[in-house]
Amino acid sequence: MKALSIKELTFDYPWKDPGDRLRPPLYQELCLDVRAGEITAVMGPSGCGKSTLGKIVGDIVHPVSGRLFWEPTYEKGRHRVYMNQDPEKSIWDHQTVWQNVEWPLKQIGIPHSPRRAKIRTILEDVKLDAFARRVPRDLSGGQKSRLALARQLAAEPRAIVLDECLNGLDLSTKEVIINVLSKRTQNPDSVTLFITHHANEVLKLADRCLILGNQRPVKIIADIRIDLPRPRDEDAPGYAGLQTELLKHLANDF
Amino acid sequence: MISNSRSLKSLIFIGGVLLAWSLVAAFDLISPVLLPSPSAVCAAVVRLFGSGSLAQDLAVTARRVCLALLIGALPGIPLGLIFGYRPRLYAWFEDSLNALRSVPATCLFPLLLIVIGVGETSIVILAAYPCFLLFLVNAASGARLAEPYRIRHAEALGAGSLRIMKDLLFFEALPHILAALRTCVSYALVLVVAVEMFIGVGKHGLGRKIFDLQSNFDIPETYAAIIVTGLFGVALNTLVNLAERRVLHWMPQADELSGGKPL
Repeated sequence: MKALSIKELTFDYPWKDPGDRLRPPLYQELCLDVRAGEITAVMGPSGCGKSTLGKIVGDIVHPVSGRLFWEPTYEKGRHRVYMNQDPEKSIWDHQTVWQNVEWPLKQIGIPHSPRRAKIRTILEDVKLDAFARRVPRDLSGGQKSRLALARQLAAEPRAIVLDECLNGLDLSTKEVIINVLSKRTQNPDSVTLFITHHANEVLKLADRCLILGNQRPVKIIADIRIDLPRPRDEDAPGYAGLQTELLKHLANDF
Repeated sequence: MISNSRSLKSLIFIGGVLLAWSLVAAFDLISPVLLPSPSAVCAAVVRLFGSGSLAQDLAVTARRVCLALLIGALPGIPLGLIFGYRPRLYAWFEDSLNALRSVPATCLFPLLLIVIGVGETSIVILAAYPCFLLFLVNAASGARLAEPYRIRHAEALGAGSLRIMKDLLFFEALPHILAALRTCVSYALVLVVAVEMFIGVGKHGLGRKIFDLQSNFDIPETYAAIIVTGLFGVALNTLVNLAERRVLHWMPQADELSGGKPL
């Protein structure tokens, strides 16, 4: 089911140099549909505007022209969440791990005892249950990333944009995050837009991969289905083929 | 280790100053009328506390300083947080508030005497005035520097302005608010003592005490009262430092190269 239609999106950042006015805008009349119940990955060479697309979908920046049509279920508010690539920007320093997860749940009005149970489940899911009483300053980078994800997903937003949430993390943290995000696909309403530049992350996580081009205005140069069974296995038939395809698209554009 | 050797060095320095002072007094290098010996000053401290009068003055001054801080902070911090959260509202007042901050608070005292009258209230309000502005401006800049992605997520979850200010902005601004508190403590003490000294309002207060003792030519007692006032200032500052360490235990650590201290 379609959740979001981007119609004729035009976007550019304010010009910095006089020469900037001569170049085409970053996005010009881009059209794109995002479906619910699956994880959509956005991939492309560095600097191509992946993060910007994420920020547009996440309401952080606004299009110059064109519109984003969200289905009514995804009304602006708690069901539309954007997570920055820096986990520090999502977590609250003065709250413990427990409180970081508790705050969003309290905010949406979940009463005390179900809330406690839910926090426990969430912390177990991200493997932070042993660290509930710590403050973020006493966590490692990987733990902070997991906490950021836990906080952003605590109130179960229907739509979330994740900007490079697996970047530079250790394997076990990656695995935890991949498991948590994969679970979202069980909900037919969930929209997950995931920005990355690693083909492996796409193959582990996404159902669909959009590859952005390298030239302004940026176009979607490929829209690839990743039809692999979950949990994803590198030895599964089709995995290697899709990997080659993804890398080919990325390489062609340079 | 570093802090240990620092406090050792400080102690040695203070000991050296006391030794030099004793030597100057012992050899009568400066007339004891101008500089009494350390032992005479110590005796005066004991005498003044013994009679109970200095303790009372200390209590009165402490009460005025605390009231001034409270009266400055209670409206200053929330108002600052609102202004930090709503910069477009703050734009109306920011320059004026900064200009007001540059006006020496003592200028206002004659005016306060007319409007409020000679008394306790005037002293406290005068000292509270710069505290209010400092708390406000610092809370505002702290709240303005709050991480916008955190605010955005809270807003997406339906949190109202009050909740965001109470649960998020207050804490994001806390390091700035505590920096303001540090400055306010000195400001309030200076103003309270100065006003006590020059305007014969209350009968008590450290400033009044120092002035009276000096008028009576009780020089060792004057020194004693000055030293007690100074130590009171040091004590207030130490309290702020302790509070800072306790309250900000969650602050992300600064780079280890800078000594690993949070502030």
